[in-house]
Amino acid sequence: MNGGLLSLISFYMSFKVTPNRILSCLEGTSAASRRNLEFVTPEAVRVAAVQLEKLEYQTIQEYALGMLSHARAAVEQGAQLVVYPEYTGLLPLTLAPGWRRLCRWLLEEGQAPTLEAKVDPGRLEQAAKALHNFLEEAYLDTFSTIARLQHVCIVAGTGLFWEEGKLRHRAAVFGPAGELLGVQDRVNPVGAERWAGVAPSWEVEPVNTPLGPVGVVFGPDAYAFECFQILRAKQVKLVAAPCVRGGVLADLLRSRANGMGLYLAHACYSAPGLDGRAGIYAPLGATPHLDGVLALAKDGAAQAVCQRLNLEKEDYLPPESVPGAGFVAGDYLPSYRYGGGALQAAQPAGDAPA
Amino acid sequence: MDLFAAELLPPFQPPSNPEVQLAVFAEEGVHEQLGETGEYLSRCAHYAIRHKLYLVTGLFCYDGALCLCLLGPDGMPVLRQGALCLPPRWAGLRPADRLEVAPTRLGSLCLCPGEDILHPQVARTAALKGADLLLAVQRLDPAAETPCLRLFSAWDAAQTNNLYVVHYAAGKASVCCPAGVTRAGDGWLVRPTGELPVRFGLNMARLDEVRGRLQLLEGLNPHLAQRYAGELGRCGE
Repeated sequence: MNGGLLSLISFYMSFKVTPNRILSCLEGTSAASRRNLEFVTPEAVRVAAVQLEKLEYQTIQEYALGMLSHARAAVEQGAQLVVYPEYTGLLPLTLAPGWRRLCRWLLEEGQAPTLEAKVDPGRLEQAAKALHNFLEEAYLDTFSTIARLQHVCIVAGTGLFWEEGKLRHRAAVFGPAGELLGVQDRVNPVGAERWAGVAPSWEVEPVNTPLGPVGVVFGPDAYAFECFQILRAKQVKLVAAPCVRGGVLADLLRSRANGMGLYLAHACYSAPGLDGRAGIYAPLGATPHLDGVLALAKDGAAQAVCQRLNLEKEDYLPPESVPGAGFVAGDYLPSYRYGGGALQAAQPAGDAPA
Repeated sequence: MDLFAAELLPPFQPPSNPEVQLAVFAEEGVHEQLGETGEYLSRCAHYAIRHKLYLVTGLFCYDGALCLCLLGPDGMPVLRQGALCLPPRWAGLRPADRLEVAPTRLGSLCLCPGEDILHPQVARTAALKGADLLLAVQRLDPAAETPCLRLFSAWDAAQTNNLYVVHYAAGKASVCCPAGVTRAGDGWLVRPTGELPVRFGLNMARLDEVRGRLQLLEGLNPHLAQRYAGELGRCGE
């Protein structure tokens, strides 16, 4: 694999994946008959979390129609917001010839292909420069069109973007007219993303949707309770959590939902080795079995898990104790200066704090 | 020290093995009277000297604070930590302002008295100050316990901050660690159990290896904390 071969793949993909092809295959299907967003009330919000099984696609039509099928299934169940798993914007890479070889080439020698693997930053930059146009087009056009055709809000999983010489990991949120409502970038890169130099964002902001403010916290950012605390302080009650796996991350999300008094839609992959189960989580008091789970995928098949939520119902019981003001201002907040990220010279995304 | 044995056991019961280097008294009550507390701590010091181990005492009130104490093998106090988060029933006490981390030959140890373990800010502060092991003793009415209590407090703290957490509350002990440390990959070194004593090994070398793979604290974004200090400071609202 070298620069010349990457350029050839890029040239080939520019014909294989075009906005017209995406539009024509999606618009060739019947539009949704339901208009779930015509009447919105916070007492009865319907949210769906998508569980994907398939990781590999042969054609852009297969990819686009596959993604559409889940939105359609969710809308049929009354969903007003559909959340897709992390890296949905990277799945079109499997359309490229020799993509497995490309992935192996991106890793440093001796690294197994896992989410914690070390990526060669130089090679990643070459690949990102060559392929980002087609990946961005496939991601944004597919989900924008699906949102428009299904008249639904979509948290479109995430994609990798190459901007101003930096790699960004970004989740896009689309409105029912296919308009981009907002984005959320990766806040705390870990594992392969850290090695690859994904730029951390300084912003955690709610996205204003017809359902009200919605937060997006994806993948390992769930380890940072701070993201959820910031969103809660900004009056967010519903957070979309596009992820890859279940397991530890699913339990952490349940804990965040209970600890911060939030409703969470966890979308993930159920493919072998990832074994996630999509679900909707809530504070313990709002769940029938007092386990923080409102709805969970019953099996490993691809599906959309849909649940009606009452965002106005206060089921959140915070601990009786509160951290002392002296500790918060004098010890807790200043302790972040010991964080390793403070020592990095990388320029984060977003505006610099005053 | 790369690997050492620790034990959670009823107060003043001898450790089950002389190789135990850290003991935590599984004690629900709080020693509130000054005279009683002095006598209790003196007995604890003798216990630590006799068995040549580090000892985490039960909860006690001292100098207007709800405290836990770590005694060294020489019986001397290594660390006394006051509770940072106090519920209304402790209205007569005042919360501590600082969380201290004690470097010992076992690793960097931090104490978490009372309800501090329920607040993620406490474990985060400990981890950012370099703690390897969080020792939490919580007074809790068994009736107030929920099935997810330990998952949402001690286990969460271990995953979120890549450290070991030893937790005792409502008559049950549990030990949590980052998921990658356990063979099952679930983060439970000892699942909640009421059968005492509980003996377990803490492997600091393995902890460092896992920390190297999943660099949670190194990846933490301090600019975010600076920018959203107002939101993060509204604890408990």
